[in-house]
Amino acid sequence: MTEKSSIISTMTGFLYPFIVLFGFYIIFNGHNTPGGGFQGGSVIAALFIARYLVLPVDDFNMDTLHYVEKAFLVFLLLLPIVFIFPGLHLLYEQFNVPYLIVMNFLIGMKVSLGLTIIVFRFGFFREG
Amino acid sequence: MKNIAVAVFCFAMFFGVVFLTVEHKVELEPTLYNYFIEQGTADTGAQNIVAGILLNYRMYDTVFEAMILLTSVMGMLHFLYTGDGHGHSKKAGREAHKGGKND
Amino acid sequence: MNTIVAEAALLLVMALMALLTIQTKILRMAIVYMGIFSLAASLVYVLYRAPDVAIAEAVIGSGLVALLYLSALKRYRVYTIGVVGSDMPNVSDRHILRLERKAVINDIAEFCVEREREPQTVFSQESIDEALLNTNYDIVIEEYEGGIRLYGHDENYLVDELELLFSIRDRDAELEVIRFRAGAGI
Repeated sequence: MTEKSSIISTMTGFLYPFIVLFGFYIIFNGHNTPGGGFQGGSVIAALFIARYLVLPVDDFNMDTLHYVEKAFLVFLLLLPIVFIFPGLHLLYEQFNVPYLIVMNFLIGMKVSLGLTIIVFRFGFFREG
Repeated sequence: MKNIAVAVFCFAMFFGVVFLTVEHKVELEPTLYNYFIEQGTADTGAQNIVAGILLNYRMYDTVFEAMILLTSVMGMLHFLYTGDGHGHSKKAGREAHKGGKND
Repeated sequence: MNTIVAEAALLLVMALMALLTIQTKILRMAIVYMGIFSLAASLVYVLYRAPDVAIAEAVIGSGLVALLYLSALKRYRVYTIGVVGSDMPNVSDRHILRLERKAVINDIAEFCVEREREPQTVFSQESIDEALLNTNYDIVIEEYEGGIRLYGHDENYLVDELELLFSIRDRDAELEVIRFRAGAGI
């Protein structure tokens, strides 16, 4: 995987925007069409991993990814605690659809960051 | 060849057991899934009832699945930790290599 | 009708790929077969009307997991051969040359290239018992006056193939292959 393959880099460059579009489509339409946060998040993680296949350099700070992932988890816990567990979703039914969209978005970001961290940890791990 | 024979035998036994024991026509009491199908969209506002169930009725499942993913990431960080908090220190790796092998 | 045929074909492809995955000798090919298995599984999920599961299976099963296994396989490439012997305290360049000229060492190097491993020979002053306890060595070679003893772990499948190679090339006169079990001694 260290040698550059022109076939892989060309095809990945062609598919890159379509992967982004497909991932966010799955996430933001998760409440109406098949899919949801986990599936769209894994598609977006495949985007970063395609970048790793083409250009295996670690020119970004991995610790930032950890902090952002933990922040997303905190929001992911906070939103249902505020909205679902007190029973507010029965009182204010007009907020149900925005709640689903925001939750799908948070789950998607968290899953994509988590899978990216796992794969990059393996990929860039040098033990000599 | 022996391995292939064992594998084919295992497959045959598996499918035999499945076809002999699985009940293909089980009549369930139509209480809960009918409720989900009829009232799910009105309750949660989701056309995709899977998303509605995951994010509204079964919220605890989803939250703890997300925490499972965080736990696995933490396990990865623990086992692949090499000293500088960055995960891929060349210096620490080389020293470990030197200590491990006496060539 | 078409759905049933496609379902049967995909399930057969899955069974075939699972068999090939455990039967192949080259680990990289096993990873490729496993990716095809996951792709067929995701198509089966589409036929069973679970497209959300199919998306996750296609991305994770044939993308992420294959890449994880490939990067793990890249770490696994160095094949370490430990060499110990009675006159090892005063090991010299001439000694190493004499050992490297032996046909057995050439056989092992050739075998490693064929299996996409990089052979790395370590000349050590340990005794044979210490060397067998050292888990850094994949195989251990002991030199003595009559020839060479080769120690391999009982569950190391590459040693099986090495034994087969030696028996084909008829090296039994100078070589003796001994299998040991970890913790139980020789």
